[in-house]
Amino acid sequence: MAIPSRTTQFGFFGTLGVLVIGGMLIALFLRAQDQATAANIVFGTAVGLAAVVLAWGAYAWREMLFSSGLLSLYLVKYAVILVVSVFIALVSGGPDLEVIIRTVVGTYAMATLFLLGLFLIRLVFRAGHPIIGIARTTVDEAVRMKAPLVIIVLLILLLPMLPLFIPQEDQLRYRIQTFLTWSMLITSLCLSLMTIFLAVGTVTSEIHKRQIFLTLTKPVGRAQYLAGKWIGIASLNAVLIVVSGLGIYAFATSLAAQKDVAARSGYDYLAVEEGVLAARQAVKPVPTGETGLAGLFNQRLERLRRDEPATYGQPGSPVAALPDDVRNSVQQQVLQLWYTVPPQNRTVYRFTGLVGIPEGVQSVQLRVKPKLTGSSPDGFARFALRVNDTPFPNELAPPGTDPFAFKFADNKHYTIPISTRAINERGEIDIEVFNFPPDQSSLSFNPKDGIELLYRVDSFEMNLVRSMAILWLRVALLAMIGIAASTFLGFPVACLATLLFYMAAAGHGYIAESISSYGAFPRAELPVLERIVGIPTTIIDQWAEGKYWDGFKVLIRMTGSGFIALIPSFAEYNPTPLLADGRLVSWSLLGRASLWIGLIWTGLMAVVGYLLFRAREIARVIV
Amino acid sequence: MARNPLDEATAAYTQEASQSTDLVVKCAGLTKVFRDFWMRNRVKAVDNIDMDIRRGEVFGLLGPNGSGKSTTIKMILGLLHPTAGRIAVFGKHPRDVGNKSLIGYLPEESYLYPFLNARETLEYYGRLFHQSGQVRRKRIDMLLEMVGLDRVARRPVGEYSKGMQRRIGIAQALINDPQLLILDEPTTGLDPIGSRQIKDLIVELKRRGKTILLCSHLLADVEDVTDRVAIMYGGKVRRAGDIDELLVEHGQATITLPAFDESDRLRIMDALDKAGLHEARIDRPRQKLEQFFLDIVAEAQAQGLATSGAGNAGRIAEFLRTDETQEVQGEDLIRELASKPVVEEAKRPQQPARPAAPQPDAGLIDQLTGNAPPSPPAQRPQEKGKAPARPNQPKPASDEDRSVIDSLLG
Repeated sequence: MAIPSRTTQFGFFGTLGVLVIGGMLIALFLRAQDQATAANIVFGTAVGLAAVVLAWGAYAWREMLFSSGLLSLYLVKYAVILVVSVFIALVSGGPDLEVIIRTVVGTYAMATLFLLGLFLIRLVFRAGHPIIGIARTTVDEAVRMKAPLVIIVLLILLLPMLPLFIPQEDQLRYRIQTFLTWSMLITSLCLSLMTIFLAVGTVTSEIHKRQIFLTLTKPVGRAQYLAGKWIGIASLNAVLIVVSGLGIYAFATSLAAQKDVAARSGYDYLAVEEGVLAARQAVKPVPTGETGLAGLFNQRLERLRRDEPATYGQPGSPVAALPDDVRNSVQQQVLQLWYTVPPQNRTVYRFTGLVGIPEGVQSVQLRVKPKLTGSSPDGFARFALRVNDTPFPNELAPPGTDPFAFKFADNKHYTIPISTRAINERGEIDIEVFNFPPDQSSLSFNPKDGIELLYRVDSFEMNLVRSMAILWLRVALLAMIGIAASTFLGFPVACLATLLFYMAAAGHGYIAESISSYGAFPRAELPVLERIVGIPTTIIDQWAEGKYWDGFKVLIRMTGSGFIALIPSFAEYNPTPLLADGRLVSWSLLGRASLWIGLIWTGLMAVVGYLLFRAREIARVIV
Repeated sequence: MARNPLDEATAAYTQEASQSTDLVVKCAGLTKVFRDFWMRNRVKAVDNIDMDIRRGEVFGLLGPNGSGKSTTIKMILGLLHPTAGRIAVFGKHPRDVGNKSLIGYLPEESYLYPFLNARETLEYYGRLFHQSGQVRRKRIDMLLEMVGLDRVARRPVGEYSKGMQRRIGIAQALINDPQLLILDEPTTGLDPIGSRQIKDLIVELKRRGKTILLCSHLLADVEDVTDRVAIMYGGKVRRAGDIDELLVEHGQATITLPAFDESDRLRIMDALDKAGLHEARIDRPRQKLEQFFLDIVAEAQAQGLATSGAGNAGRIAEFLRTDETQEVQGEDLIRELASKPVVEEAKRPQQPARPAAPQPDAGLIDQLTGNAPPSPPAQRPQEKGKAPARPNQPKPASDEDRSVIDSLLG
């Protein structure tokens, strides 16, 4: 059986690339020109031709492992998705033919892109260097051994099928948001699992099955071995991240492109147009007075001191003398009061720093979640707005109602577009909320996200790129942890350890929160040394009082706190909620993620892994 | 991480060893004790052995199962760390990474990646030696042809039979044209053609001044090619030395003659009797089964019979044969001798797999049976440098080898 020559190979992958990427670019261009049907036809034709080329390739290379393994699996997957989508169409009766076609074409395109990516990796990793050799073989292992490949296939299968499972009757922007949230979640989960199994599997099995005997008796340093493994996994992940990112982008934009027919309301349409596929900066309001929140705080404190000097200190005494928890509670009260508009009252919220809004951005979005402190007869909150002292009309008010009244469901997010012309030259805008209905209770906004002004600062595309980059940093760290764990643990234990790490890092916030309220513990404000000494003191105190279980709880908390302190928080570097909400995933977030996850944590794990591996005796007792 | 005091001792030792440049491997007081989880000493796998391997020699490490051969090899390779004692390989610490480019290692089993095919496997190992794509491709083509896997090079190694995997193992051990080749049970799982080829290869590499550490149970194989052997039992070296010195039987001598008829036999016996050699015995040497087998297979391959297994094992790879620095005189002859039994390429005319039997030389017999007194006990024919095997020679040695082991085993 003759193997196609190198020229033929380049021709094959080149044709594939031109068809898929070219088709995609032309389709995107046509879509930008609002030629949706033409775009679909072009893309469908390109993918169809690519399918023919692929089928030819699978036949021509049927003797080669690369093709026989991967391409046949790929063809099987193609058949599976056809059957599954037809099944879904028949059972639910929901998704129309167009959705199914898009799903199938999407899977096909993603799988083809993945193949192209693999080809690219093999092209890049062809130099004669130990690290490159090990990296390349690790990639080969990933796509030729079952466990990692199954997860990769699952990812390429699940992502395009996701739109089939999103309820069609939802508002369009929610459908897009749901898609973004779930697709990011699936990508992150699949890649994390694949990374853990691959990283742990490749090192432990090489030690177990002794392939490492051969590698390490060649001029390969132990650090080079670990580096090669990591680079292999990280580059495979990079390809998968790019493929998923393109998939997410294609499906999200194609959902948004249907806004003319699929939007459920005017607000929905506007939200899709302005808010969903965007990267928006959020600005929180500040008080209009000279002194700001500090002034309000002082006013409140003086009043409290007059009423309760025992708790809050004598009027006029320095604020620094206040205990931390008292000061915190007063701050919370002030903030909550300021975010509450009593009945028949007005509060002016000033948004500042609105400079640097790109040219061409027509409007900023006021995002509010009005919450009534009392009950509302119909579940709606009503209020009026003045922007820069001018009454602001509700453009979407139904005919025959008050054109200045806003009527929003209680405790739900709404977005009101405001023209950028309302922003003055200092980059400020004043928005006054008037709680006008005489029979309505106080209206309050959550200080966290109850009222904010969002404005587009960057495109959805760049936001997605940064989000995917952060996802990659996370899986790259996982790969390093898996490798480091495998240098001294067996497959099951190393997998468990890495999974535990992953879950602890992902749920860092929740765990830290639940630990912080578990058992008595020295106060966080104390100096470190006192806190450390305080732990045994607390335990002894508890046990002396006969509260054995409480003392034990301190021990548990100590263990938990120690564990949490050793694990980075993925929650801080989670781009998914930001991306789904159309908020900016900033360069600075990406920078911080690169520093902490990419450099410090991955580096630390690499050093730990190297030190353990260097000291390890590779062979085992055979006598 | 603090340096192991043992490492420091080795460092001082390696300096000393590097001064005597003809020592490729030097072990002194080498001991390996395997401990269990509680650090209790469990097994003394290698017990205070001293061993030197000189440049350019074929050193055989023999011993029954579990005698510590593999452990010793793994310590030389840096895969295991000695409990006590010192090792220097090329005058350096056994875990020195740069040194590894001088070493080729064939482990006791073929530890290959089942998902790679033969060519990719060799590509992988070539990359580990920093070889450029061009050098890699050239060497891999030669090696694949040499081990007879060029036609199945695209099949995943996981589907190979044990012997075919072994062949890939041999190819990877040679890809860097090593100065020191460590072969751990190289002929396990190989068919006689493969085994024979390993022996040819060892001889050829030795001719080029390479050092070979051979570890095997197949004593016949070892005997054919080694210069010196060490026999291990229970982690200790029981006997070591030059193989010819160890094996020569001082009470007997062998005379090899061309075939002769019954009347000649009587004349020879008579002559010997007259010379006072009353216990002389004349036997017809039997062909060795190995040679017989090789002839049959060569015949089948010449007829072009199909096989899905390993194909014709070709000539020893060019880069392993040629000396860039010095051309040895008569190299062609040696090459021919070394590769003769396995030259079966269809393109070339079929050569006799075995040198034709020499014609009887009546003159010699006459001379012998006439008045000439028998020569003093002949020294064992020294032809290892020229041909790997001595097919027509009586072989008393293997029985003796076994009895040595038996006596060691008690």
